Amino acid sequence: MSTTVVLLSTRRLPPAFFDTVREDLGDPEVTLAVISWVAAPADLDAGKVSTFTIIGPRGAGEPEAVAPRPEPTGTTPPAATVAGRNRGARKVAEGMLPKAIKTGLKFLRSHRADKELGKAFWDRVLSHRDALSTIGTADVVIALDAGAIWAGWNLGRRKASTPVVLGIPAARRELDMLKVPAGHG
Amino acid sequence: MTDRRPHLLYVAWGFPPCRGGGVYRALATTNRFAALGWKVTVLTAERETFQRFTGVDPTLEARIDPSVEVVRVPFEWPVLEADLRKWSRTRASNPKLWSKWRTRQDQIPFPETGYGPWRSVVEQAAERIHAADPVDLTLATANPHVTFTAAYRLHKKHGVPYVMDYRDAWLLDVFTGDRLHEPNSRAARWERKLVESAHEVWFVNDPIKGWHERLYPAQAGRMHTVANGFDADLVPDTHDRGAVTDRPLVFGYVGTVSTKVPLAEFVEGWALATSRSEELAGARAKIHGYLGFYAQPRADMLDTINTAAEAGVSYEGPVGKGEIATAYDDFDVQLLMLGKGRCVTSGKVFEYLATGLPIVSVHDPENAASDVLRGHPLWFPVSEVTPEAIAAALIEAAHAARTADEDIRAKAREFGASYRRDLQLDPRIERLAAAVKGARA
Repeated sequence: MSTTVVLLSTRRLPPAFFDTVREDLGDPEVTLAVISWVAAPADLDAGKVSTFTIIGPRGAGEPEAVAPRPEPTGTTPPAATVAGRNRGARKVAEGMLPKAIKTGLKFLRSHRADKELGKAFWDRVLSHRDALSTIGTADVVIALDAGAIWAGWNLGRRKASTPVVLGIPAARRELDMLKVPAGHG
Repeated sequence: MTDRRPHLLYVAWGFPPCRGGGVYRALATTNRFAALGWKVTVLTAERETFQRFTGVDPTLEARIDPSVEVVRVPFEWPVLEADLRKWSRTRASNPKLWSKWRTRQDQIPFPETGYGPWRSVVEQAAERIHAADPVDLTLATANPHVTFTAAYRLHKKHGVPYVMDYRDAWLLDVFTGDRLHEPNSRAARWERKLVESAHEVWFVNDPIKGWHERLYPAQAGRMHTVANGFDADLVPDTHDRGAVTDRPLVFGYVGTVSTKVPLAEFVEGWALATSRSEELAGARAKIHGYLGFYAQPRADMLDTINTAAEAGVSYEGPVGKGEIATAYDDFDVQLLMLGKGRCVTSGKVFEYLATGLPIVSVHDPENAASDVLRGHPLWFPVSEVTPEAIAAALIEAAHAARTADEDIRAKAREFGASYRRDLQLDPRIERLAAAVKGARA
């Protein structure tokens, strides 16, 4: 029976990823299912993955509505103006900071963004029946990026018997171990 | 009866079944000490460490001399733990922050990312080994450099002399020649302390040794080059194949083509050479190995090769260990294509030397590989890495492959044979044996 690997991703996966991932996992027959925050690559060959579940805000055939740009009225909403000015002032102020502090701020922002994305991703997994049922079939779950770690960690706590790993090399090790007959460890 | 053999404690993080370049040096060193009458104890990491982090080659373990005792101690590498089920909640919710914090924590015992916590483990293990059977000499190989701490501990507490074996360098970037750590950094202070107390310090080539001699002039006399070499049982056949007179020549490359390899210049040079020399009529250049560092060949490199397909250049794909000998059997001339690096000696150069076949060096003349090849009677270096110079070297090598007499070919094989790895080690092992014997007396 073929092994099922579920990939958790919050980033756009390049089409080339699906050309090599089976080889990198060491199993050309592996069944791949993707749970993604963003849409599949436009030219993804349907035969390369068994399912591609989109759980992000623009997912599952529900593209986020893009609001039409309002006609200029001559008056600018005050809140937007203040926020815009603040952003500009903040940028200027940051430009004057020492490099170490700028790097630190950048790191903290990216950390906060990952954290928020991670929580949102996990909330969507929990509320998405298709995603949960796909995960239920997994032999190995792979978190492909930082945003997918929180969901992966929670899945590991819910069902400790299914390996949940970060990255492809670790997944390959898990898959190799699955191939070893019991009692030969 | 008491075992009167001198006792060597060899400390290495990477040891069979670990799969990696440095492992061959470690394996050859311990086996050679054992063959020359030493009792050898190896202190290394548990097998599981390599299964999890580096990959293993189970056949390597069978190559350890049966008299060598291997003591394996735990090694933790939490930052690289990829099983999310083993992560704490704090780590899972703040993975980047946690990694930064952990990396700093790891460097508290010893200033080396990831390996610092191993210091107390190897120090205590070395103490136990010494208590059970007194150690006469410790040889620690780096990197990681944390292995030196076990040697230093036995020296400070029990007066055991030690050798530092650098496969690379700690403070020096061997590719760029830049300094990696500030003179007053913890790494620099540790190295100074270690070098000052070492009985010998080994390096793999003269440029790296020279850099350290200038850094530690008072210790220069204890520094030695112990070059890598080829392992006699792992290299291709070295029989005389005779001059090629009746068929087109085959040039060959085996190895990973990194972005630093002058592939485009070679391809252009090849096209020029084949258009200019009758001796290269119908010749082929076969490139074996990986194009880039991944299983999938890099498209740009493949394109570069394919532009000269009509001139006879072809990409043959990766070659497994079992097929290497077959690949070499097919070659009449070897192509040594390397990136720039005054302090870098590729392990491939020794494998090439073992065959005795002509070698065309397609690399910067300043590359440390030139120091190894200088004097080889069938070596054809380029004067500069340009298509013109490469073409000239290829034409000369083709001529040699077709005309070199038996005497020159024998000299080439003889020259290569001097780079058998055990021959590099023997002079140092003999000196160390004499020093240990003197200390015992």
